[in-house]
Amino acid sequence: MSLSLYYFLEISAIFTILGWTLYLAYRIGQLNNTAIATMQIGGFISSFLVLRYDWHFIPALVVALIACLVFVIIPALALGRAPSFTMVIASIALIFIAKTFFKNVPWFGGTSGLFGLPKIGYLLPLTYAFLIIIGVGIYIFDHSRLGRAASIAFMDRDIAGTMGINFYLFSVVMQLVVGLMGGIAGVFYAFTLRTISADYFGIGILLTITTFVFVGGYTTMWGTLIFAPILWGLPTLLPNSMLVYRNIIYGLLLMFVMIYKTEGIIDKRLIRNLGKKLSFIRIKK
Amino acid sequence: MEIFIAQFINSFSMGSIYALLVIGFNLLVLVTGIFPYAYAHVVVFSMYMCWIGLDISNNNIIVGITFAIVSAVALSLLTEPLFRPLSRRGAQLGSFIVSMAIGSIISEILSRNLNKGMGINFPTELKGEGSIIRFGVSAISIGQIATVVGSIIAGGLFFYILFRTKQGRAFRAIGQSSFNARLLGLPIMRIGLLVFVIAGILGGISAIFLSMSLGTASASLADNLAIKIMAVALFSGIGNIGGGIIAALILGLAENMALAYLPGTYSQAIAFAMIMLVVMVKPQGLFGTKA
Amino acid sequence: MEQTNLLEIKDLDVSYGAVSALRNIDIVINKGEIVTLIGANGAGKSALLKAILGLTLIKKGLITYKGEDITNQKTENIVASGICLVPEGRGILPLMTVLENLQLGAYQFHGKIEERLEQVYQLFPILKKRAKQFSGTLSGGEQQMLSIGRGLMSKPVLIMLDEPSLGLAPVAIKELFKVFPKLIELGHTILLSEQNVNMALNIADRGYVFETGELVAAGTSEELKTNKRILQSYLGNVI
Repeated sequence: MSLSLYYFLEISAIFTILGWTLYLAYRIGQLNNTAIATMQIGGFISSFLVLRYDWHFIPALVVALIACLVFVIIPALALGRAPSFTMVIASIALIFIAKTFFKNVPWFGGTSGLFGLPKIGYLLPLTYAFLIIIGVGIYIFDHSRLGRAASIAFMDRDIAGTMGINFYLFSVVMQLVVGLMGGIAGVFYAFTLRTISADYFGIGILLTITTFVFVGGYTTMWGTLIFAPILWGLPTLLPNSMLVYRNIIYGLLLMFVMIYKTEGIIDKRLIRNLGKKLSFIRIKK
Repeated sequence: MEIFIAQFINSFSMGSIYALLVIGFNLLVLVTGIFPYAYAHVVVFSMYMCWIGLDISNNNIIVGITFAIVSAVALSLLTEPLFRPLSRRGAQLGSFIVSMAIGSIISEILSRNLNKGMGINFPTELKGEGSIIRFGVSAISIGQIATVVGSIIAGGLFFYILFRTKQGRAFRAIGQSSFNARLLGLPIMRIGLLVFVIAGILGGISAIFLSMSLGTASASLADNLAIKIMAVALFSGIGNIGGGIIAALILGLAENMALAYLPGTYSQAIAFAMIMLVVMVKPQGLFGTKA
Repeated sequence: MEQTNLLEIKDLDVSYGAVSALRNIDIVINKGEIVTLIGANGAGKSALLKAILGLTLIKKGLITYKGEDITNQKTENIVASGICLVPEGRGILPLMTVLENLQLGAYQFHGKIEERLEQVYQLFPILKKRAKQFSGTLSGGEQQMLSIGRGLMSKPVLIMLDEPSLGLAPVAIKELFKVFPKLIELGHTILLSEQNVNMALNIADRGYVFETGELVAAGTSEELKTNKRILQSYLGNVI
């Protein structure tokens, strides 16, 4: 397999998982960017354990994820009831708190970060195993009673409360899930690139995955899944000189969608129509 | 004692810049209902324009100031139509995403097309370092005094407009209830445009003072500033203009103290600490949110 | 023939999204009249007032004011041409002073407002007394007076009031309704939407009866008062 195909498959999966964190948080109406923060924790801790202490990949992964949960639990408890602006600002702050930490604490390589991570042979299938498991989990959630409760909470927290939905609990659990997913993404990101540096993480990645989710469509999980590889992959096909404009194109796309077709390209109606067409084919046979 | 006074003026200087920035930010939130993450990016862009102005006019301060303010107002007005449909729909989170996109585009332009992507440095005369008032072992520069005095004047003018003029009353009315304001026949869209202009002017003025205080600018300064503005706004309560000023001064003071007593990068983390503190203790902000 | 027709509404339909609020409404208001809209909660009276002021999108129907078509015009232009709405719940801005609220009423006017202010103070002396107070601290009746005074600051020809008696003590309501004839004397025209049928019909010249978005009866207030049967069947025992 060529290196660029490997990167493409890995990064697409990683960004899909990251995009799904935005999708899940927004299901209950919150814009939660914490995944970028836990991405750093997952990536750095697992890299550190493997590089400096010769740990095997799997135990390092597990410890890194536990670290993510520990990091995220207190902010989650505090932000559960927070108004939407607060959640946005606080989660961005967490990104930069993590960034400042990993940039300054010498264990993690300071400004240059950690490099020379070993190649993990089974990384790609493992990444996709996680992607499928998470995807199935989200699908089950969306089509369950919890998923419907989330849709109600999205429209109005208080009305949801009168129907017996504990928004605080929902929000805290969602934040833990987001943190965990971010950590998973971070670990795979570090071991795909085989280096990790605090400079990789910031508003740039945030904008990228926000674009995938909101241009693809935030009302269903398929928007992110389909458009992450498309929006990530298409620019790589362009000549290198155009590649530098990738972020500007993302920005413009995102603005266009938010102003003119807020629901994104893949919306619920499209899914329903597609579903009808597919079942029609089945019946016809 | 003199050290303390010098530190005080120092922190007041930075704090008053933050105050101007948060006034502009909160004004936009209050009247148009959007979340202007990219306000800081407009300011940094304006700093670059000021630098260009100084460069081509052989350090003529008037030209620099003109370039700064005009570019800030122009860029601000350019983004207004992008926010209009979102403002009308009341889509606050949507406006944050759009603003983030705008900010990224500005950052990309700053880090690629202007000055070949390198940071810019302002001539030291701007900082007024040559003219320093000394007392005892400490010193304050003319630049810092100019910043504080200038900010007080700008802020004072702004509050005069807000509380003693027809337009200011209109801003406050829309901030309290846009429905009732509309009922009264207030031209909401036209007033929205005016607010973008005022925010632009405040941004341009802040850019000038920032150029004097920091002496340099780069694309990363924009995201950095954006977080600090949001920290201040969140700390005092989003939309709370008066509270924002106090929080801005607190940030200026805390950062300066941290700079004096802790290793370098920790002063940057003060803003984050403020955010997390207010989030855990009083999520609506110290003085209550008005948005 | 002299044009006494100030406001005319023809065949108006208003919907909020998919929900229809008004159907086939025809209304005429002449200069110097007090016209009242009566009907239960949700019958569409508020919807009509908001539609006239351009606050809701009108897909079918025609609204003419002083002979000109004002359907779907911008609210600020409608207010400038002389229609004001005193909204349900008073709509005053509690964090601003009485004086500031009044000043806001004259926003579109670019001259000196002292004369208008004096007129309002003459009608409502209590407002002059409380000029520097935050309007949120006023009593319900005083807030209602402030709301009307604020509307007057734009020198309207047609004053629309949405449920002015709502939430007011009976004494305050009586005081309030005493003001209406004074306003007519000053040259205004009044369109009143009221749930208090008795008071409304006592003060008004004509009335329109609404039920679930449609007009079910119209006539002079005398006709409507004596035709208790109509009123009872549509509004229940409210008399």
